[in-house]
Amino acid sequence: MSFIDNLLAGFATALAGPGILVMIGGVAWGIIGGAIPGISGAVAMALALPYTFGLDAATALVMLAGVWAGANYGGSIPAILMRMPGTPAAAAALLDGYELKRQGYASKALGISLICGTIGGLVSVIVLIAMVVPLGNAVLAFASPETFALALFGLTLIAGLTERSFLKGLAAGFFGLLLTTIGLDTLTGSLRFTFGRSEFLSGMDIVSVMVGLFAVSEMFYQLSHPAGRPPELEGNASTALPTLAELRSVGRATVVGTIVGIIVGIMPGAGATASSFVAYNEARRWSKRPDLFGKGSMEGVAAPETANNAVQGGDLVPTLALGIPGSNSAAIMLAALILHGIVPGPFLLTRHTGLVFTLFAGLIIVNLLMIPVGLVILRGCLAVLRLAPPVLVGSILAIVVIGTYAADLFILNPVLALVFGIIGYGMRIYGFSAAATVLGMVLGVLVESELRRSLLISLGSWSIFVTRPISAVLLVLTLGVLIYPAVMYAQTRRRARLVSAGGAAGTG
Amino acid sequence: MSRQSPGRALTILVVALVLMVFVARPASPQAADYPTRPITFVVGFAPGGGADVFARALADATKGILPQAIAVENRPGAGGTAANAYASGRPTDGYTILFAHAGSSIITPLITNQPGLKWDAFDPVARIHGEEEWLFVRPDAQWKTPEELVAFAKANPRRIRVAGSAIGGIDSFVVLTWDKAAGISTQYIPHEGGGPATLTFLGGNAEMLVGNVSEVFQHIEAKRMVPFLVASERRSSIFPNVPTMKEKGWDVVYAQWRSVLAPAGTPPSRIAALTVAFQKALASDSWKRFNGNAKAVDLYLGPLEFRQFLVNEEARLTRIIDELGLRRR
Amino acid sequence: MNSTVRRELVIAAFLIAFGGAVVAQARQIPPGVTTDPLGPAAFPSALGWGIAVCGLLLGAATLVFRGQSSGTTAVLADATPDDDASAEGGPFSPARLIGAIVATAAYLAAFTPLGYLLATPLYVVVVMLIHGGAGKRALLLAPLLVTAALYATFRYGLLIPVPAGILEGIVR
Repeated sequence: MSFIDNLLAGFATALAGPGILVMIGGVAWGIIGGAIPGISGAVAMALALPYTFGLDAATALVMLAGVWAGANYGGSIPAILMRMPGTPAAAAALLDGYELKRQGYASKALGISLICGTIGGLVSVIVLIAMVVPLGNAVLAFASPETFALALFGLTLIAGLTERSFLKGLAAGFFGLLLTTIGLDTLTGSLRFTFGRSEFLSGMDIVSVMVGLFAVSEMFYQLSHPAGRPPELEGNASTALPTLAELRSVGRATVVGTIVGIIVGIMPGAGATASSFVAYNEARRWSKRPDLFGKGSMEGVAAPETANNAVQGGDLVPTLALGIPGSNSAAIMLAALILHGIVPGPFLLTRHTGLVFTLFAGLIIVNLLMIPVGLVILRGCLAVLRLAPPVLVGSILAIVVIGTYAADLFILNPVLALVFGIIGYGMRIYGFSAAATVLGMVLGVLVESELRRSLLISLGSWSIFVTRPISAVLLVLTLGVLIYPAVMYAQTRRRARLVSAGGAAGTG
Repeated sequence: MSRQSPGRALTILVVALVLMVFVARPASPQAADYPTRPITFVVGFAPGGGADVFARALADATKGILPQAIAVENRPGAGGTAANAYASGRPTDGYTILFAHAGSSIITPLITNQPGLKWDAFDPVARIHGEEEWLFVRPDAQWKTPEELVAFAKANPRRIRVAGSAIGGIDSFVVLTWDKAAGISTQYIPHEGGGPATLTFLGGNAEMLVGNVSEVFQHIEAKRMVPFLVASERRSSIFPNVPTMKEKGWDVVYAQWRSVLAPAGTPPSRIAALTVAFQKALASDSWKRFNGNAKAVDLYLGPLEFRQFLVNEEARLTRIIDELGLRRR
Repeated sequence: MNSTVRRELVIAAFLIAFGGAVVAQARQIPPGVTTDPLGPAAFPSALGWGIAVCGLLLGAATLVFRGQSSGTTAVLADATPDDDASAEGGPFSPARLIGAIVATAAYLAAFTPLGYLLATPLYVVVVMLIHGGAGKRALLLAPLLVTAALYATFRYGLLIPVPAGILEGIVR
């Protein structure tokens, strides 16, 4: 059977029987689960896994794929509406998304997250379908040095997140990196910064920290700065979706997000969260209006949300081609296969062609289903905006507690959220960027572990980073990105000095 | 008040008393009353990994045998011990069970000096199955026999890179023990799990890979890796031509056994109910198919024998840990 | 020395102290079972140094520029006045901030003993009172509705057991 025949057969199988209902259910559950802080995409899929036992393998896979895709969008809903990332991958979306909500454009932000995210997901899935085998071999060219270089490159975003003081932003980023070292070090078995408490063995729960730094601190700020009139309704709370013109304006950011998402997805170790920040960084770099980022730029929502959806296709490359999952979410897809008696690995494509092509078709269908299902849920979520501010604040804090509690059933996580809420408040008052800390946490894990692992691979030699081409290129880019603004700044100063020397009195 | 009310009131009272007797029956810890709601199976590793898939397969195999389902709950972190910490705080009513293997229940608690997270802070329920630990090399490797490899390693210390999972897991111990037994020193490269380790190996960034066959069976079929040594008592039926470390004179015997524990103080009757269910599950078709694909062997041991096994296993591993000088004091 | 300069110097001192503490604590990190060229203490130690150096440079830049706004200042030090109220909201109320923190801490402390169904409405009421601007009807209805909605979602939707607290036996 030819490729097209296989694909068409796949569509037929996916749409047969309960297929379409199961996919809609999966997408809906994914969006809802992703929207609940404490439930990440992988957790939502794991919760759905028992329900797949009664289904055949192909239907199980497409349902899980739907949950996966849905969760990537769902996480941005509370991020935009309440400054609370529903999944870690949505953290980058709140940087501009919440600002847009404050300006009255929540619906447009959510719409961009949904539509651009869907585009990213679709493109990545098509790339996957077309090139799974050659890309599968390409995966092996990526190893620890490349992941380290990418994470380092992503950290340069710190420069773009700090408005008031670069040094403070840097310190905030360092703090975030530091937080990732808490717990058991898997490379040596050493315990770091646990102070004898077993609760800290696995480190700081990143969701609790994010929620604390972003949502709780914001709530504390609103509570302690009571305004005469509700600040949220500065503009009119528009329920309009983004117009075609607005969608076109974020086109470049969407393209950036898609490319970043696919590449980061293929790379082992780095996942949706890292990709969203890297995409945000790149979109800002290539944007015509970089000054808007952080103040309500639609591109600032489009890029990360596209990227974290586009990771899905990239993640599935090593998963389907090599049987090695690219992320926790992909691992659950594999688990579903194993539990249905199918052995994953390089022969999956040839031995279970029908199944794989049904999955391909299903991936396309669930990404398309995102739009109708997502729009319905979007409309429903907009009701949140009509809540009176006191109710909203109370609700958000209550959600924070139960959401973070749900992950561990220890009270530790909510306590962490409270503590970091206080820390986040202090950071905000004194000019430190909480986003820089979160960025440090997200990329810090990769930076340290991949760096040390690279040195083990190279038997101690630091030259591995430059002798491997991909990592060398990324490191040169990182260096360039760091030096470029300094060079530009020096040139501007020189020009300003020339102007003031020849012209009117300067401000000194 | 009419003339009927005393009679009606009496009737109501009698009915209420009868209902109360049925509804408020004191819950007796009999096996017949258990389980009346789903049992939580806590797994200290991420969904999709070997431990998680095992737990889900076992849970699936007990469907229809137990009146309630077993629901897997993932609490990854700290080599599986984060789940141990969580489970030890759960009520001892038989509705929480804990996944355990050598790494999460013995080795990691020992090397991180956390006795409260070790197996003996729990009640053993059953040992279920196990897989062998293998060393793999690339088909074009320069060494054709283990002796050649060891000779090379002796001449080139810290030159051979072995990819495996995290320190504190069985993989790492296989390599560390083998190093000592063979008098060599390899460079162990720990990863978060078997998958990333396989990628490092397949990408040519390590000369050897340590792990279970199930994770890489198709790669062996595709001739991207070759099993080289197996760390078991006897040769494996999967690849009978591959020598054991033992027959080469290196006393390195490990198994990646997987088991179930319960919080200490769980009623013995409920533990017994679980073991009966597990025994039946092991005979089920779905479990047999899973085991077959996983290339694992059933290693069932009931609570008492499992406890005995754990005592011996801990003693054995403690001796190795001390010999390797790994114990945190 | 104006308040901005003073504030920035305090911040700088804090960073130096924090960084120093991290480096000191990193020295006590045990070596572990295996080693790698960097070791478990290298990264935390370097980060501690990094934070301390940031503090040092911040202090130096503040002293050099003494609170004047200029291009270099924006890059290194921070010359914006304290608690930039131009952003949003009204004047700062320390009482409300403390109240919010204490209320949340109390909620977390009461979470298990009192149980979810009792502690949450109380917490939401307190938060709404701190916020101000809530009508009597909202104060009565909202906490109950929010609690009920969250309880239904997590307890029945996600099957996550929440503490029943003193309602144990009735709720189960």
